[in-house]
Amino acid sequence: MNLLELFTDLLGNTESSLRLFLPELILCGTILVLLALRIFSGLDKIPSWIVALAGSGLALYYAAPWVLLEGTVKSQEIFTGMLLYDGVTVFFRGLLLFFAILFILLTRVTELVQSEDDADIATLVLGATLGMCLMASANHLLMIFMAVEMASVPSYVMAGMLKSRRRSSEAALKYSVYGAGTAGVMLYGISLIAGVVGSCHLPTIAASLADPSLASQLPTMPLVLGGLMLAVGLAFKLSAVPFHFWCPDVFEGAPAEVGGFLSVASKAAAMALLVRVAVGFAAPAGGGVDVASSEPIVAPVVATAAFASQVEGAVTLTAADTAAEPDGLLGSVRYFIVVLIALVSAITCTFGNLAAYGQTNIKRLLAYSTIAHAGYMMMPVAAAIHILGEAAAGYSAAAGDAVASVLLYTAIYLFMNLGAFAIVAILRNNVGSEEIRDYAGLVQTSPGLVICFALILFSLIGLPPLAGFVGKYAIFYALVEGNLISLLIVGGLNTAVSLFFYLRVIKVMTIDPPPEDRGPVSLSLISLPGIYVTLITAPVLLLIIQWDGLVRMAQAACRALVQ
Amino acid sequence: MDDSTTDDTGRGNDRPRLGVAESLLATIPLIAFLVAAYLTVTGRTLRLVWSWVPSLQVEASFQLDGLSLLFCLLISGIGVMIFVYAPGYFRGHRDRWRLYTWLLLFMAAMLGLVTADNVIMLFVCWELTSLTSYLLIGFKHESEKARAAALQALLITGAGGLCLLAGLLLLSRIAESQELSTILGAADALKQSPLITPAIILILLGAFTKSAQFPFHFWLPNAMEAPTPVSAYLHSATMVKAGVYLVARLSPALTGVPLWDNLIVAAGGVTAVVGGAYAVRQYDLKRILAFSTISALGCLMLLLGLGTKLAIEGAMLFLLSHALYKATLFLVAGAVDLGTGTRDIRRLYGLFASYPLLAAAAILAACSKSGLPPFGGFLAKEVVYEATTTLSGWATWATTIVALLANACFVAVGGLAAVHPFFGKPGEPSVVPHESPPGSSQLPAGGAARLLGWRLVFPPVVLGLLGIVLGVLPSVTALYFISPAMSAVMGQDIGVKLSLWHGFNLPLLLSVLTVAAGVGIYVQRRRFVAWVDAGGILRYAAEGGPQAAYRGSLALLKFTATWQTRILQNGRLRLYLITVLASFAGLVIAAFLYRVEYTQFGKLLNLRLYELVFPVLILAALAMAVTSTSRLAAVCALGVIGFALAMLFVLFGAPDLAMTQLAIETLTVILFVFVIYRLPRFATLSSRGVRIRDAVVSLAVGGMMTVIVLAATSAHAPSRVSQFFVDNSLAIAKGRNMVNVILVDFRGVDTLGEITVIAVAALGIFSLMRLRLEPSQVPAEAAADRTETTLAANGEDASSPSEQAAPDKPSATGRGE
Repeated sequence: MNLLELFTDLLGNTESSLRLFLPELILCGTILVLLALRIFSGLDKIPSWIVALAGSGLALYYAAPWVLLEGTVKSQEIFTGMLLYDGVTVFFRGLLLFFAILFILLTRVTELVQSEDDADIATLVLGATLGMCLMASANHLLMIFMAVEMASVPSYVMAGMLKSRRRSSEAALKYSVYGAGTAGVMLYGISLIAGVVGSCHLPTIAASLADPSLASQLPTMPLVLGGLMLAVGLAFKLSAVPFHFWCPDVFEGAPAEVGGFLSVASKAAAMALLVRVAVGFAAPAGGGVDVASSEPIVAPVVATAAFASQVEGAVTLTAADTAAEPDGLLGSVRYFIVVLIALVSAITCTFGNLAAYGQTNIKRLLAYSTIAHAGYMMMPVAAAIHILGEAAAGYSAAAGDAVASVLLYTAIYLFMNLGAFAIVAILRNNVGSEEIRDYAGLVQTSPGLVICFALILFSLIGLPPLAGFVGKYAIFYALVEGNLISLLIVGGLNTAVSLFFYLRVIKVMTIDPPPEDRGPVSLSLISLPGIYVTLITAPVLLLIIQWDGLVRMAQAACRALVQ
Repeated sequence: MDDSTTDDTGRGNDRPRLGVAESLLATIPLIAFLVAAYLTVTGRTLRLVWSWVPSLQVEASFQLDGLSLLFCLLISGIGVMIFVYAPGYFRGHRDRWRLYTWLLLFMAAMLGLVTADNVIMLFVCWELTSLTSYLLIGFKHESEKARAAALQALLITGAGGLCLLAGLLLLSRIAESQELSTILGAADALKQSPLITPAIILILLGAFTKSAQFPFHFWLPNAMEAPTPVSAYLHSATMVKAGVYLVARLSPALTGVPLWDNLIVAAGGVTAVVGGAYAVRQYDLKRILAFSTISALGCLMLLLGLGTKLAIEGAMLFLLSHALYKATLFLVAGAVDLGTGTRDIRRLYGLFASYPLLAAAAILAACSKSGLPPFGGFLAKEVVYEATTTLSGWATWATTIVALLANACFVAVGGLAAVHPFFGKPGEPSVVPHESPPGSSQLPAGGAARLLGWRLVFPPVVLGLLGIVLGVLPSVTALYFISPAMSAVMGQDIGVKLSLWHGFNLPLLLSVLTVAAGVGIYVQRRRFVAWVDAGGILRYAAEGGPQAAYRGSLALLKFTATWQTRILQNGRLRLYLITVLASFAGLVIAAFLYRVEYTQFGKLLNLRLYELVFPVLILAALAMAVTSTSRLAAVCALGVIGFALAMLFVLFGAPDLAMTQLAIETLTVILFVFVIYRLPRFATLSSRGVRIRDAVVSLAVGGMMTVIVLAATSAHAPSRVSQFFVDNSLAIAKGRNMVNVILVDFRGVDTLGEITVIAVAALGIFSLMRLRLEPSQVPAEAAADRTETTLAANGEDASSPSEQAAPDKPSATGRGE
């Protein structure tokens, strides 16, 4: 094709894509406005957090996660297949933008930053959120890499927010060294895959691998390695064991608010990416996707795509007997995805809970709890793929529902962990410490806050009737549906272990006598931080009454994923 | 004593007047009781369904059948008495409203638990009862023991609850429904499913932990740290019966599965004997009652496990009469504790003069507990003996002996808990001398005891009297309580006839034997205790063993946690990197071991001599870098490696790549040199062992990288791109330098974009330089970017040789800048 055709094509494609890309565009615009405001002397009086709030609010309005309930989201590729617009995109975009709003409010409530850094944090948050939105909708290996980096680089800076604190700088350094290392490994992996298969477009790769005539010619070892290396990048973002080391150190060094951001938004985006890579690869894209692109490679691929290859799953390509299967390599590929995710999630979950047990710093404890929860959240992905493997003909809606449990858990997790970190930040401002033992006897002077914290911690355990139970139930249900009984038992045992360390925090706050050298710490719920905490805790307490809406939203988001 | 005037005068700070709300608390359970009673009398079963989460097929559904109603009556009826009693017991306590709230919450959860039809609803209520139990046991939170006991109870029942959830989910998956009523209807499907074994084990773990079955029973005596009204309500009458309820509820579907029956019978039998014998050994009134509760729960399990019609009948009767007399005894114990300030039976005697009404209630309860006619306990015991003696084979012997032992202990416990405190003399019952408490010389005489309000006396008297009513009106008991409950447990309509007098038969003989044995144990308590302690086996089973296992596992958990934190998460970046690299290398090596392909590597050895020069140079430089004691020399050696690599690129036809490599290598060396001057003096800090470890890890990682590169280069990828450029460079773009053509023609737009990026970056750097930051204020971002650039660039360089024909992405140059 000549240049003119190319341009016309590209223009048409871009025009149709832009409408679906509006929330991200608004974020970009807001970032530019934030930067510009500081240049012009008259405008720098406008508080940047208000601008950021307005920007993310507008973006949330256009991201419109509520349309999921109406069932009008139609899956389609945008920007010549670089991104995918579907229910999962809509769900996670809504979630991330909603979290961005809450986070900006939190930084105001806890007075994290002085006025001159105000614009910095707003810019960084929006930048990271932009990257995370892209992670949730990536449909192309390079897009995945770009999105991960876009989300990571602002995070590194945020971890080092407190410039005067050595620990904060150390955290930022460790985080960025880790991030850079894993990003390099991931990029290497991507280049191996792309070199072997000849494309970075996920459905195209999948189709190549599933194509029986082509699959037998593909060299398997580079694929295996590429898959493993791509998995390293994912594991870093998920803080899965053994790529989790940055997490406790960074959480301890960074301000609690930033810890909350990393633990919620970053985790949500990483889960979205895992869903994209794992489930997207193990299930055919199906007819549900409208290919906006007219790029010649893409169209026929998507139509036929029965396919394979989650990264690690490529291991199975070496299995000689698979060639005989009419389904191509799909069956054994799925089997290996299940084994790998199950293994990693079980190790991550167990390790996180065990390690949390011995912590004395509340932020380190929450960091390990984050790691453990990442383990729980990965489990249903394995279950979903297991279900796909078991469904002999066609694709069971149960797989979509299993993935939906991840979405549900992420949404609930947002409130639980944001609440926990917000309280830690508020207590830091008032108690001046983040050691658990310094919380002793807080219930006597700040009962409201302590009750909220206790509710959140109980919810993190997963005890009914709090929201955490809803999430855990959904996950366990998915594991039962997926027939992964061993994972179910691992999850159950871990929940029991997690009782210990969460309860210890509650015990210290409510039962131990307050230290004598601490001044009176009186935090009423009728104060700005108090109201914030109450508003975050309320859903944790009340979700049990009406959780059908959230479940339906999550299920609607995942329906197109496996149809 | 119990005259109501003390109540109403309310003098002094310690005896404030009750508020209206507080005094009317009991109306809440009363309403529930009346509803349950109405439903019981009219014999209706109800089913209530609300839509809760239709998208997950979870409904808020409740079903009230005979079994549920029996429990509802117990929960709400005893609840009424507890809420009459508690305001008297906690009069003026600072936190009493907190306690009332939790008690009410508990009652609601318990009612929900026994009426829920949806398994999720059941589980939610189940865990709610655990949670409220935790809060209630820890109510006296100044006490370290109370907190430990509360935590222990929550951990054990909470963990059991999680097992239960898993088990229930498995059941509902097999039966394809979450409604208990449907699950019970799918008995055949359940019995044939392979999942039934894990499901049964998980469900029974839940039931056994909750109902304090051996070996999970030890939390219950410790839970006696709770205030007495709580113990009476939760830990004897209601909550601990939840496990029994669950087993009874699932009986119609699961009875007949050998695993189910055997586990329940075994656990129940052991629990019944261990708990009963150990109860006699205790001195604390509440611990005596707690162990006898454990024994009673064991009997209930045993009967449900036997599963015959008589056994179920006995279980239901025993359940009812036990709840009544045990609650009475607990309430009496609480009142005595409040009045005299002690619960130690060595210091309690002759209190009849002070508390005649309490004594009457206690005696009523003790008679029922001992199974004397005409009390409810007698009815129950007769049916139980009838049930055990009509079994076949050795089972009849075993179960009869277990029942006999347990019942004899009940008689003795009745004596210890009810007779001795009121009618005993000092020195009775026979006390092991050296265990005598130090303060025993200053016993509060009967007369010194405090006066008690009517609220503390009325409830035990009423509950004690109900025990007689049960026995005197056996037909009413059978019609309204036992038959409907049995119909629910057996899954078919059953009519039961009860009577006090069965004629002279084997059960009656056994009853006489029981009472005689019980009195014997009571009188010869010292000898019995010595016998129980002989060999220490029973002691080990009742207290030592399971508790030691619990403590041991906690300690192990803590040890593992701290150990792994110390080893793995020690804050040192280099050790983290070692762990990460080693595990990644391990993964890759495992992948290779899984399926090795050596075949393709052979032809790589096809080298020319001059090509070998550079690898040798690299190896020599490597050896120098590793062994050198001068940093500068080491850095230079690293530089040599880089330059040699660049020469290799030149040899293999990638001059552009070589250029990039040279530029980056030079820059790296220069940067290194800058940094070196700021480092402390070179010293050998690491030990030999550490260096060997590092060497092993390095070799593994190096080997892994080698393998990766070999695998990548040996791949014959169906290249789609390079041939296109070969064919079209000259034809379309009229250029002979393919790389140039790619950069400026085929990928012209990309190049333009990259130039823009570089320009923007340059602008940024320019403005940074204009800012003239202090050196210490260089933002972390810059450092982060730099690190990333180096690593990413290195990664790309290593991968590039595999695709020589593909254009080297100019982005590397851009980043290098």
